[in-house]
Amino acid sequence: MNRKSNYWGTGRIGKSILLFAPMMMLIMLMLLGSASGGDAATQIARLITIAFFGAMFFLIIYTGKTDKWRAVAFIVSALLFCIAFIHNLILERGSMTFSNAEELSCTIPFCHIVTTMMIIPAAVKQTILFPGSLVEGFASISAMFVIVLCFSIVLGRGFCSWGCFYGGWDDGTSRILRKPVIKKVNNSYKWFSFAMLIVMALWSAEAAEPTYCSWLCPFKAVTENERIVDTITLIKNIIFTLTFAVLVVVLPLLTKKRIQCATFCPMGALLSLFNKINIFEVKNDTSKCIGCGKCEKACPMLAIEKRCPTLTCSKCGKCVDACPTGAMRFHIKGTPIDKHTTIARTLFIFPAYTFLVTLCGGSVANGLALIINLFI
Amino acid sequence: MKKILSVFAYIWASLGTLTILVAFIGMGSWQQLSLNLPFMRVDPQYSGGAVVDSVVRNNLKISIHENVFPGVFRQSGNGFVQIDVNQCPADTIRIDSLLINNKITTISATPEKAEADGFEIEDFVKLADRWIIRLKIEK
Repeated sequence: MNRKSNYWGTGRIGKSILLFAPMMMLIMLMLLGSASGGDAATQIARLITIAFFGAMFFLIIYTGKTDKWRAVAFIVSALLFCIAFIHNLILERGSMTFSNAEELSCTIPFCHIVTTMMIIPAAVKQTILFPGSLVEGFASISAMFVIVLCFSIVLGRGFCSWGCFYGGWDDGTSRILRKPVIKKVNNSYKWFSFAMLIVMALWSAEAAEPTYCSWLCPFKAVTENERIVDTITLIKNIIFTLTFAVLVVVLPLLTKKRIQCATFCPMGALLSLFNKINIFEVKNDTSKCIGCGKCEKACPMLAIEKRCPTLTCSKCGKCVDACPTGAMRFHIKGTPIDKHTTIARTLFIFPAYTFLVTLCGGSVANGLALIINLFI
Repeated sequence: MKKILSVFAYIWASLGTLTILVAFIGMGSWQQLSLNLPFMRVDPQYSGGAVVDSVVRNNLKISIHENVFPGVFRQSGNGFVQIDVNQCPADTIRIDSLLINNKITTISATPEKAEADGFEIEDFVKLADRWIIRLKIEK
C-alpha cells in the first residue's frame, strides 16, 4: 500500500466497511426512500444505482484515492442526468426545446447557474428574473434556491466537483487523453470567471433577461434550448453548440483542465466566494512538501499557485491523490494541519458524497432505466 | 484556546452531512419557508404580473393583468398587458368592451392568431388550460 495508508481504513477491508456502512445506509435511504413502484427496468436501475454509488464510495475509502473514484461517480452522474433530463422534457412538452408557451407559463426548469444572474434583480426589484415555477414542477426556483444556499455553505466550491450535473462533462473530457496536447495553461485565466460573474450579473439586470442562459451557456446543447423560429434563435443555438464544443469538449481534451468550469462559469466564481466562509479546504502541509509541483500540474481548475490551493479550489482531491508525500490534504479550518487527516477527509467526503447521491441519484436511476428499457 | 477552537471546528464540520440530509428530507418545508423571502416572486415580465381585473364574457373567464414595463434599473417605455382566457376554447373567441390601459378594446382570437382593436399583439400562446394574449402598450 502506498503512503495513503495514513488514512484510517485504507487497504483494510474491515475498517473500510466501518466507514462505508453509514454512507451505504444514506445512499439506500436517499434512493429507496423517495421511490415507489415502477416497472422491472426501473427497479433494476435503482438497484444498480445504489450498488454503483456504494461501490464508488467504498473505493474512495479503501484505496485512499479520492478524486479517481469521485470522478467516475461524477461523470456517470452528469451523463445520465442529461439523458434523464431530456427524456423528462420530451415526456412533458414533447421536445427538448422550449418556446414562448413555456416561458409565458413559467415552466422552464431553474438551474443553479441562473442564481448569478438573479442577484441584482432580487436586490433591486425584489423579483426573480426567470420564467420558472416558484414551487411546482421539476427543478422549481425555491427547490434550487434551498439546494444552492445549503450546499454552498456546507461545501463551498466543492459544489462544482461533487454535485454540479454539468461539471461532470468537462471533468470527463479532460480525462480522455493520457497527456495534455497543450501543456501549459496560465493559472491566471481562472480570474476570467469572476469577470464573467460581474458582466453576466450586470448585463442580465440591464437587459432584463438571464443573459448567460439566453446567449452563452454551453450546456444548453445537452439539456434544453430555445426552439429555432427566427435568425436570433438560430444564432443562439449556434453559440450554444460552439461554446459546448470548444469549452467543454475540445479545450478540456487538449489541456486536461476543466476549462469551462475553471475559466468561464459565473456560478463557479460565485461559489469560490463561499470557499471563504466554508469550513473545509484543501491545504498544503508545507513541512512535508518537497516542491515537486505535481499538485499544480494535476489541478484541473487552475486553482493551485505556488503549491497552495487558492480561492477557486473545488476540492476534487486530484492534487491530494497526486501528492507523493501526502502534504496536500483535506483540512478543516481552525484545526492542526498535521493531525487527524482521516477525520478531516471523512468529514468532508461524507456531506460531499451525500450531496452527489441526493442531487443526481434519482436522475442516474432514471437515465439507467431508459437505457435498460432499450434492451429488454 | 486553540484546542477549543479545534473541537468547535470539528463539530461544525460534522454538521455538514446533517445539514444536507435535513435540507433534502425537509425540502417541501424549506421551499415553503423560502417563499416568504421578499424577492421570491417571478418577475412580471414572465408571470404577467398581478391580476387587476377579472370578467366573464361569453362564458369565458378573462383575467386582466397589470401593465408591465420590463426593466431592472429603469423601466422600458414599451410594455405589455397580459390577458388570460381561463378556459380552453375550441374555436374563435371574441371579447368585447375590455378596458385595457384606459382604452376600450375588443379582442378576437382563433387557435392560430389573436387580434385586438387599437393594440398590437406582442405574444399569443395556447396552453392546455388557458390562452395567454399579451397586448403591446407604451408609457
